[in-house]
Formats: sequence, C-alpha cells, structure tokens
Amino acid sequence: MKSRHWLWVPVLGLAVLYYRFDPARYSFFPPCPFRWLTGYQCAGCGSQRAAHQLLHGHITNAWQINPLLVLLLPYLVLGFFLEYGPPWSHKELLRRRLYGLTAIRIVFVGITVFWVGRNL
Amino acid sequence: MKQYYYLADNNQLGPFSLDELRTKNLTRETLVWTAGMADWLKAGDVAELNSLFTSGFGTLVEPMPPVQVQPMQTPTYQPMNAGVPQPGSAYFASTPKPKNWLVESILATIFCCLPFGVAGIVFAARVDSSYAAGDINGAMKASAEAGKWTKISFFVAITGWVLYMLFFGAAILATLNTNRY
Repeated sequence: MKSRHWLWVPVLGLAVLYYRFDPARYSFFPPCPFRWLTGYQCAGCGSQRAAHQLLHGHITNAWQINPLLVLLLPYLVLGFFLEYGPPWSHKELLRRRLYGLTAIRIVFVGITVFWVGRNL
Repeated sequence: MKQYYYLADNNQLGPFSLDELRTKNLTRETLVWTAGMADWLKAGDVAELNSLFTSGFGTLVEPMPPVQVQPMQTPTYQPMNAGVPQPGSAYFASTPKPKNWLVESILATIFCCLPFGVAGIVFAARVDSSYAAGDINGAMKASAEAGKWTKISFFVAITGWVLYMLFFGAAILATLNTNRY
C-alpha cells in the first residue's frame, strides 16, 4: 500500500524492547486485562513473555508459555510483508491462498479452541 | 473506456476514466489499478498512463503500447450463471478485494484485546465471503468494520499502557530496583 514503510519503525522498536527486557522480570509491560478481571487466561496471555523467548531463539521456552504465538508469528510476519512490503510477482496469489476465507476460519477456530482449552 | 482506481492515503478512489485521472494530480508513485492487473502498480510503471506525466512536449515521444495481460480464464468456457459473478468474470475483475485486516486483527487478539481482535477476524471473514459472492458493497462495509476494531484495539493498547504506567509508576520504580540482578 501507499508509503507505509514507516510502519517498520514501531515494529522494530518493539522487537528491540521485547528482546532487551524480559516481561517475566520487568513489570513495565502491561498485564492482560482479561486475566486481571476474570482470573482466566485469554488466548494471548503470555505472548509478551513468549515473544521475548522467541527473539532469543528459545523456541521450546516460548512454546511452553504460549504455543499459539509460536504458530502464528511466522504467519503474521509473512502477512505483514505481503500487506506492507514491496510488491512482487506472486504476492496476490499467495495472499489469496494463505489469507483467504479458509485461512480466516482456521485461525478463528484455532484461537477459540486454544482459548477454551488452556483454561480447562 | 477503461476505468481506473487509485490509492490516496490507503483509501481506494475511483472508478475514473483516463481523462478524469488527468485532473487528480497523480504522481508516478501513486498506486493504480484497472481490470486485468494482478496487483496495484505505481502509475509511473503503467505504460498507458505515461501521458499523465508528460508535458505537452512529451507527446512527441510515441508511448509504448500497453502490455496485454493474459486474462485469468477464457470467457468462452465461462458458464452463464445468472446473477452470481464467477471468479474471472468481468464483474469480478472490475474491483480489487478490499483489505480484510486479518493480520492486524490477529495481532490485536494475541497482544492486546482478544474480544476486539476476534470481532476483527469475524469481519475479515465477511470481507472475503461477501467479495466471493460478488457483494462488493458488503465487502467494503465489512472491511471498514474490521478496520474499526483494529483501530479501537490500537488505541485501547496505547491508553492501557499509558494508564498502567501512570497509576503503577511508583510500584514499577520499586520493582525495577529489586529486580535488577
């Protein structure tokens, strides 16, 4: 899309922040409001700590904290590239195949199942 | 007459004829789309739009003939399906699919506000299903809704963080000191 390259600045900034500081040890990362209010975990709980582990290459640690993030992060990075990256030949086809209706339904069911399942 | 769309600040404008485009102050960097293109292209890279950027003297140069893009399907094999536009039909190719905000909605779901993110994902599905059914207006409405939930999540995240910092500032400073190994 049109000149959205500035979006990479906050993305890289956040990556540096989550690399440098472990949210498990530093309390200036906000906690999950859903967990704070209800006591139940949401599907995204632990994603900040898991992101820190992933940025350090500790995939097993990240998986134990929030497997959903480990599964979704490569998908999100690719989607971000397709949406805001430079144009290339198979972009539209890839977007249609991987980010179309079937994909959305799988993502939706996956998030819901994980959300319920982790609280059982 | 060919109809063109272009993007201004991520908004899709159009359709315009070539003559109408002349009044729109497009630059070579503006992304444009017309039936037959696989994706948005910079106006400067579209041969048939060269005349937008050449002054009166530039018309001395013979413009390159437009590159013929292979159509997705030959119309002859297209069954006549009353009312329902098929992929590859003229109607289907006339408007690009509106942004479905899927990636942003997933980000909102796992990093900020699960209910808002899930609402975004539901509307993302509606963008794609409406578009596949040929309901362009429905797809554009769903796209706007999905985008709205992403923006709400974004502002909730920012305000949440700021409020958290303000109210718990003192406690944070204390834990910063104790946590420094």
